[in-house]
Amino acid sequence: MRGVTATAAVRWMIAAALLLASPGPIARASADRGQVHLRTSEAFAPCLAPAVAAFSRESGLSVVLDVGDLDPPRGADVVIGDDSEMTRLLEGGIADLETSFDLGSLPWVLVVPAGSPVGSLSALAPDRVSVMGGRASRAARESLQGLPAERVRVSRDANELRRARYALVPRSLAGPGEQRPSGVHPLMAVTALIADAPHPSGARALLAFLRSDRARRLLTPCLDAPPPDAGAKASTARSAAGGTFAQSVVDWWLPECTLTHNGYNDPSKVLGPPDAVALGMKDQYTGIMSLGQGGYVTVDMGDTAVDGPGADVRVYQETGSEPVTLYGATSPQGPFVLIGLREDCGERTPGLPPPDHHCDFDLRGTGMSEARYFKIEDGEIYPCLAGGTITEGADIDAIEILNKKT
Amino acid sequence: MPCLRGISGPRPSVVPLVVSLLAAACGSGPSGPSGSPTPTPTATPPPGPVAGRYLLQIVPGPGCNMSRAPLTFPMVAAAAGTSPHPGVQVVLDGNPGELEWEFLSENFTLRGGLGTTGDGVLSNESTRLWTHVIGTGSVTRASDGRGEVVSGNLMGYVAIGGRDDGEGALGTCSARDHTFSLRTR
Repeated sequence: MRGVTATAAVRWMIAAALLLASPGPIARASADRGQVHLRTSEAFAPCLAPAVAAFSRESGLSVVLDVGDLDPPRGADVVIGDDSEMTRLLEGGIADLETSFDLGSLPWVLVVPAGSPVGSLSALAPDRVSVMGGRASRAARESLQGLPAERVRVSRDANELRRARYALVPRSLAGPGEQRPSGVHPLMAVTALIADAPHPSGARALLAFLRSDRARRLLTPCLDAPPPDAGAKASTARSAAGGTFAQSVVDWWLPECTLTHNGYNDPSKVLGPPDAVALGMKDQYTGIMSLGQGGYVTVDMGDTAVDGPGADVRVYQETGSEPVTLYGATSPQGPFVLIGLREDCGERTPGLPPPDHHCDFDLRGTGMSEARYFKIEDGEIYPCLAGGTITEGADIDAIEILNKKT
Repeated sequence: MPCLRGISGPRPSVVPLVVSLLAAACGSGPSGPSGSPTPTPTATPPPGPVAGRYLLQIVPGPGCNMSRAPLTFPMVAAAAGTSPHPGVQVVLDGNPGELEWEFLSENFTLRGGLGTTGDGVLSNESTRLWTHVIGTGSVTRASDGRGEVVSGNLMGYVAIGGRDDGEGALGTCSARDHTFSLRTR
């Protein structure tokens, strides 16, 4: 961890109440007689304090909250981070996928002085705009790329961000100014147990508490609870009614390095409806093709997608939010037209078992009114030689036409 | 398995297989009348493999509101597999996992993903680069016969910072018109 990250790290102890052990998992946890180390990133730390304090009071366990990069977890028992921060931990088995669940989403907000006129930050801010840094802030920084770089201050110092007159920050780090919607996709708080947690019993007790309604109530002033069926709409309904999914593989390519290191190289696994399953052990799945470093699979849908209302094509991707690039064509020989470049693919998919996620694409604006052949390309583009998992790259489960030519 | 599919956007030019006619006094074509000097076509040999030591240069797209000074990296290239399509691996000399490019290599065109880890990679200019891009470039023949890319296109994410900065401290830019070269050294 270099400069900015290191200075942003904050550590504070919530409580050490050893007298109030309650029945159930919390009581068993107190047998650990140790601290539970919870590591999280800057955005979520302010949201967690009330719930962690309540857990500590009720369990008699002290909880040490470390703030900074999650990877490596640095002795943590439990981690809480955005999808983008958790993906490699979960896929690499450092964090236990079986224990992971969503705590809620956290919107990005624009902060401006109260009473500022309506307008973009670039127009409003006379000087600098501060934006939270780190891996989870890529989309936010991209949204400010119209501003000259010298007018953007990237910081992971929560206090500095709260002091900024003009800022683009997760709501939890907003200062006293007026908050406005940002258009940046919200962060999603995901928690999981570290596989070799030093205090596993206490860690499991903390996770059990965080799953409880009581903890949810303590978190919701800060985090938006994900609606139980948000986004269900098209997918589950269409799937049940016989949706249109990829029929055959036209072409594919994985780099040699990916073929050597990855465990899920079969392109036929992207055909048909979503059927991926995480088997509960590290790196054990069925029904996916991992695209490795920049690999791709091209499919024939058997039907034609058209530019209709809303999104036209959905890609199902397992675990995390690894980006996907999508191209379309009307013939298998192409030419293939870019539809979406490195779109984060982490929308939750109700009706499918977690961690099955998806991302949607729209033909509008591509210059193409219809397409039957789709090329799905890895957008994570993480160095294969540094990977360390057998699921490098976007993990594709299925491709679905949402607006079909009739 | 079909051949490499065409992708819209910046297209590599057809590989130059330059055929030049040697000076012929009469200017007749190859099937010209006998008795006059027969022009001999001289084909420039195709580029050799992309292999060995290279210098990668990356330039952020013209619309990026940050320094667009070229960032250079010493790289090493080698053939990497033949199935389902032939590939070429190009990695940072000495630290292959810090900056890695996995190319599909067909029809004298390289196409594939270039990426860094979360720590980024330090350029020869002491600027740190974080990137996740798809690159495309035509392979031409270098002076030593090997293949190289004189000018290619990059689509995707580029962020820069100082040597010890966090990601994007000196700018972030996602664009479809970053450029690169991969020249022999």
